[in-house]
Amino acid sequence: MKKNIKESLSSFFVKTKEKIKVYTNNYKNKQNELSEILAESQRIKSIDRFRGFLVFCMLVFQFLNKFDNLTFLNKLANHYNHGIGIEILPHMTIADMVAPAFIFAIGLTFAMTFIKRQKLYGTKIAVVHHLERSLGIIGLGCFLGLCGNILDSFGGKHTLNAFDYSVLAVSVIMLIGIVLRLLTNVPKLKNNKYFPKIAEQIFYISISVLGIMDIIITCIDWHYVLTTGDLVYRYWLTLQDIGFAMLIALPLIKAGSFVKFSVATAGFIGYTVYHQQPGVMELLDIPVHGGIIGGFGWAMILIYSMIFADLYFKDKTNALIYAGFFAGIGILLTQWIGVLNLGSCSPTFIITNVGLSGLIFMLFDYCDKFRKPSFDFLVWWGKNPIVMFLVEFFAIGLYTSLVPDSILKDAPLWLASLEGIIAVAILTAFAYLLSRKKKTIRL
Amino acid sequence: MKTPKDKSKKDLQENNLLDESINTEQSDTTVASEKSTTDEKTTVINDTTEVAEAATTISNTAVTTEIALQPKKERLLSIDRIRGLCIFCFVCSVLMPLFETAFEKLAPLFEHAHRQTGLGGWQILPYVSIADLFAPMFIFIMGLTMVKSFKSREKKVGTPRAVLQLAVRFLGLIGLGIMLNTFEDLVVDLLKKEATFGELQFYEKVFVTAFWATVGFVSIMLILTLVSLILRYAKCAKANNIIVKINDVFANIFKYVLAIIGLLSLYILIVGTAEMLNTLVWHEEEGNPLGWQEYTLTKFGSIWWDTLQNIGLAGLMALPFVALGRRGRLTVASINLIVYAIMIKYGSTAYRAVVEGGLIGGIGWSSIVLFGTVCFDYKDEKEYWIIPAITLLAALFLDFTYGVIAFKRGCTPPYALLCISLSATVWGLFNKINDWKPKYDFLADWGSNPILNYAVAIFFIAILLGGKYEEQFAAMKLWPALGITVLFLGVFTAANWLMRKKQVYIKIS
Repeated sequence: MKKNIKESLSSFFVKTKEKIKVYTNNYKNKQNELSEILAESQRIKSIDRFRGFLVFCMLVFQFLNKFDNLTFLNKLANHYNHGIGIEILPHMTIADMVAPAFIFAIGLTFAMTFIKRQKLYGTKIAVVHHLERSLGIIGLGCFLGLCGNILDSFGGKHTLNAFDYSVLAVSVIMLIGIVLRLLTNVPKLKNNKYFPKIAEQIFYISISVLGIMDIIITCIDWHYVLTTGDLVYRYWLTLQDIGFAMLIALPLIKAGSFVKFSVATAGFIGYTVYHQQPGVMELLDIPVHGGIIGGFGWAMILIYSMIFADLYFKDKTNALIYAGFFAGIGILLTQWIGVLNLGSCSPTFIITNVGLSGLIFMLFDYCDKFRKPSFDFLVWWGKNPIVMFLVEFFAIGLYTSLVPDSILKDAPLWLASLEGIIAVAILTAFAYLLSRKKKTIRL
Repeated sequence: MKTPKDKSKKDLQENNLLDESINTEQSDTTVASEKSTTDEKTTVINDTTEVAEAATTISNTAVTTEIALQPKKERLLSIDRIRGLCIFCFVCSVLMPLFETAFEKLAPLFEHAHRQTGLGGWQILPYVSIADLFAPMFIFIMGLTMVKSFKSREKKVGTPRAVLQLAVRFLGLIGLGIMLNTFEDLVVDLLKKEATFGELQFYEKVFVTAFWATVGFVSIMLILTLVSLILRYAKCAKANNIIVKINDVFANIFKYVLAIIGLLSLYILIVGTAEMLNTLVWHEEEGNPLGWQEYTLTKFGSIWWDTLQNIGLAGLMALPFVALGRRGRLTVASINLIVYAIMIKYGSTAYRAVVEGGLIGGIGWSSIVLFGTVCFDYKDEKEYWIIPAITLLAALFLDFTYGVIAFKRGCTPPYALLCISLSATVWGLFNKINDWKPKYDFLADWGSNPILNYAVAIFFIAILLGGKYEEQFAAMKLWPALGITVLFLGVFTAANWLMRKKQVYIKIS
């Protein structure tokens, strides 16, 4: 009996030792994987800088556009259909390139972030997260649209309708979700098993609902455009373009490059055929960036940029060649399938901007070799694009709507420059603070 | 009979004017045992295996058939194929437009953009039609083979002689072009008695005389070649050797005669360009977006310039930079195009006044040659495809953003860059299938004798047939026209196939 106990104890210890060994090895492997992944994402500073550069352009030049006396800088933010901008190609200004380039920047890391999350938490969670993220971005755009409508209603420019109230109701829930999430920082609530998860779900579900509502109302708006020639609800802006593009591209996130290319090209051909129908381009010009239909065009930009990313991570030379040919073919095609048009997200606009964005990114990537600056302000700007966007919308939007014309539109050159410098400095300092505290706020 | 090993290696020299490529990837020249040891040997053969007899050289529209003594490297098929594609398209563009009624719908495909208005043809860019894109491919091909040819010559004969040989070749091309123009513009009129020799200006008399001298030389060389063939089959080696040597002498004299005519033509071009720049006046015209130019030429009355001359000038202007490395050549070509673009942007319209741009257009054409040399250097590297991508983009930016029009007449920078991009893309694709060697290689066959195809197409089809039966061809219905076209192309194809099979390559030596 003594012998049996000894034997069973020893086998127990042996088994336990083996289990611990296996567990430790698995943990080490996962840590290695995670390190690799993190190491990968840390290395690509050029993507951060590129993104930061675009966010900087989007926000700062929009602000500087308010000052008429800043002439050149004032022109930089002008789109082709908004007045005199700096035209770099027929019907396309520098400002027209920023939004597609931003979607291109998303495409560079879209698959990578999914894979990261998939490796850490599994496919189901990764898919749900990305779905919520895409809808969330649309929802955020919807919320900002509501804010704009409320402000306009105070100024008498807009009367709140049923949809505005519905969005308001869901937005309130979303805001409650945000508050609850902030409350999770309270130690007592942080340690609670259910509270953080409930708070998170409230927020994500409500913002996703806003996203779904926005898509539905924009479809209805497209119907009004087709029947009456005008919009009714106007709930579609740049954020919705981005979110919708991410939604459409999601099924292809893990597909091979060839599959992505085939699907994107088939979609592109269908989109082109539709876009070329008589009168369609003019209708697509009515909603911002082509509305829900234009969203498919933006999705093509995202998918093509995902292919670029696949090439980039394997061989940068191929990525450069891909971008160069895309840009060249896009510009060449303007002679046969229409002009470059941001307003309707024309087919040539899609191809050309995929190419041009790729080339500009490769330039950033190339310059990465030469400088490792300590003052890397573009990286700071690029780490929290959503936050910077919200700050610009609320803080600067509020400022520009409240101050008199003498300080804004009619401000003399010295004052306009000073305001511009201060705005850039404050925003950069804010971005730096977030970066220093390693705070990354994402949906 | 001497064995191949007895042959001096000094005999290795090529005198292809257009067909440098043949010697780049294969052994340059190997001479049959009975060949003389002169330096003026031209032998380029595809693949030879036997060592036996003396070769027969027929220059000018010369058939050089020699048997290699040393194992030869294989030709770079991609170069033959792209050349074949160009020549095939060229022959079609000469033949099919004769049938105006039958091929009416295809007419825009072969129509060049009008030299004054820039309109016409199926345009790929404003003022650039599809038909405008093939001639520059020839120039690009010349660039592909130029550096290696220069370097192989340099090794054998030293730099000064290598430069001289290439210069003579390019001048000879110019001379040959002038001879074709002389036939077209002067000799035909003289033969039809629409003009008399006495009425011609001095330089026109020189050209007409040179033309008849050319005809004489070519006739003598053809006769000698025929005699040599007979002697060869009769196995009279000694007599054949003498005939071949005489033929060589005539070939060399002819080569230099052509070069001197080319030099004279270049002089006329320079003088004419100077007069033109001095007297050029640009006029606006309704319906003509490019306007028209008016200028006065008092010295020689006109500037004699066409495609072959242009090719020769492009080679001449690129020649000083051939010894540079690939980055050096790329830099030079890029600077040339940038300077040219700035000149056009800020008012220069002189490039439009002369066919293919004359001397000024040579800047653009020589840049195409230099880019061709760069593309060859990069052919096996993955960075190769950056060149067509970036040149396409640069062309479009120059045209659409900077406002410099793409125009064949003058070889403006966007036009040059577009042609470089297209040529580099086509050649890159052919390079990908270099290892594919089918039994019957249509394009390679057509590309093996470009000069002969070109000369026959111009001389026989365009001038003779087109001149004599112009109205009949124009009025012909579809099926007969199609039949004649297929017949002509079939004869060309069969002849090319036979010549390539027999390793007969006609070059200007």
